[in-house]
Amino acid sequence: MDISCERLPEIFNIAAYFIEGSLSRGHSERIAFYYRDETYTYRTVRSYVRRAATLLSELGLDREDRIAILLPDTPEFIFAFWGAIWAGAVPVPINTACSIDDIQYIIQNCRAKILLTSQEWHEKLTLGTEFLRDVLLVDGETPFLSRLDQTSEEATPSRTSPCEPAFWLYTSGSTGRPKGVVHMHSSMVVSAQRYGKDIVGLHENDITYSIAKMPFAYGLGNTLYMTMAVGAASVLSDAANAFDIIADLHRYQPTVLFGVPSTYASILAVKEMAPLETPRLRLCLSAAEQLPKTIWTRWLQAYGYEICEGIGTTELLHIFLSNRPGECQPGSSGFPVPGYEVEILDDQGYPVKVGEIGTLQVTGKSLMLGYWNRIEETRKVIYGNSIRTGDQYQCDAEGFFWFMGRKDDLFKVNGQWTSPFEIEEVLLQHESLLDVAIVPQTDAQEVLPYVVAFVTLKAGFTASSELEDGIRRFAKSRLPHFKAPKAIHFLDKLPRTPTGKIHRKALGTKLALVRAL
Amino acid sequence: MVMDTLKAILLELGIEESDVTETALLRKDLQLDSTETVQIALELKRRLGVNVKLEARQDMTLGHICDLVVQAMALNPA
Repeated sequence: MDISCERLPEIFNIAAYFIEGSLSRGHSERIAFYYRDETYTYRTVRSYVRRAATLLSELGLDREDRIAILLPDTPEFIFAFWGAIWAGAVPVPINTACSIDDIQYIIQNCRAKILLTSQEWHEKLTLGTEFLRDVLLVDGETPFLSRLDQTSEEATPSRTSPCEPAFWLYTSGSTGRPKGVVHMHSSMVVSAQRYGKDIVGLHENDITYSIAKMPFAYGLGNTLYMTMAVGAASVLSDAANAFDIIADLHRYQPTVLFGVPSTYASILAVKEMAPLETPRLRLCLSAAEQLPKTIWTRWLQAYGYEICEGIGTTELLHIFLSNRPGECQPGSSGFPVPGYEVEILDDQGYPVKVGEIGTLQVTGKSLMLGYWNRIEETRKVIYGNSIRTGDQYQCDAEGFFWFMGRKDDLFKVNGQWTSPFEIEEVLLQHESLLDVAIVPQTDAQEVLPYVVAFVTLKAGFTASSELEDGIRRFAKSRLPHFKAPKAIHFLDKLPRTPTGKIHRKALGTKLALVRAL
Repeated sequence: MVMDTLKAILLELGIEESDVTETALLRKDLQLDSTETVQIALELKRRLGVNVKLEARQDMTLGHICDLVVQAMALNPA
């Protein structure tokens, strides 16, 4: 089936497509999502979405105007997101884990006319007045929901086109300010069909639970629209640590868990204290960061589930490379999701041979329109209908794709391309290590780079020169000598980007500081 | 005794001794993140043999954690 904006009807509104579609398929009384002790049916969602569309229009939010949504995963988020699209406007979700500085930048950069947030956040922000006309609050004297209750639900869907902007998602990028990724109305249809239905096999009896929140492209698909496409339910969670997540999983008994590597590691770490009991769970998935094989194996041993890993990007909205349930190759990203063409290219843009490392190029119908107001960066990554993600990959003879690091993570040691992940994987098997990040170091005495490890320790272990020696001996016994770290630096915590990936540039700075001492 | 153990764990996490009070909140006052709250629970289990699942949705004072530990010890005396 070809799903592209060219093949969809000329008048196409993605909010109406999913919401009216779910009702016409007889899902009106089915639960669309769980939030704390409450449940919301598809009929209720439709009612509130139409009310939100009416209210936002009354407040002067016109077609193509932006509304910034700075909220955790809540019903208000969902009603405002779909309500804005229903009205032809463009929602811009903002992750509440971003820095205040970045949040203010995003609100200004997207020229939001309305901001929906909480009192607590509103008090923390210094907001410009050039574009922003209204701030709606979910709490306080006139909460957003009570305003919706007083609004009519007569709004008809805006007659938008499948190829026009529907929503933006900001992506952190490894340097500089976040970039607004502009997606079309058609993008969600593609991801919901290609990954949600074809790979995950989502169906109306599923309940999904996502660790990634909705302002992330991964979380948006897992919680908001992939379930809606089939009449399934999702859980809106405010879990803050592994114990919260386990409590949620026990309470809601989801059938599909969309996880991230660090969560699987945390749940495993507390297994003795809080063993998981999820008899209805049928599938565990992972994305956002490379899943170490060690965690994959330990999860299988502990709970009997394989973790089906994939990779996606905000620019392509969701996952385009994925393992297949029941046929996982641990440590690999799997192979292309139907509808996506994935190639590995050399520096000249030609496909590399099997087993060689190159740059990932992906062609798919969920590709963004571009980065808002960043033409140079857009043109740097988009090649016709394709995008070069900046990830370095190799493909084996069986067609499995293996992540070898970001383009700027990969380094040469002893004249050979070396992936930090391969070394981290080995070190993580050491009994004392909780988290590991590998970076290359070059100092004045040695022109050739060598490997350095930054590590955090599990509870009960203390940093010492004896332990450092032990870890180095452990690595040497399992790795080619040039890949074994020459130095181990103990940290309380590894620096991470807002999306949870290891911030290798920050570690490089740390290394410079260590050397300066 | 419980507070002394909790204090020792917090000091190892880099918290200043003067900040460790019964009314101090884990997140708001001590700035502990989700990983660190789990780490405290694991350390309490290791040192005192108690299962105290420190959920992080609601911020918790150190005094409250001590109460939870005492209750857990009473249920499962060593």
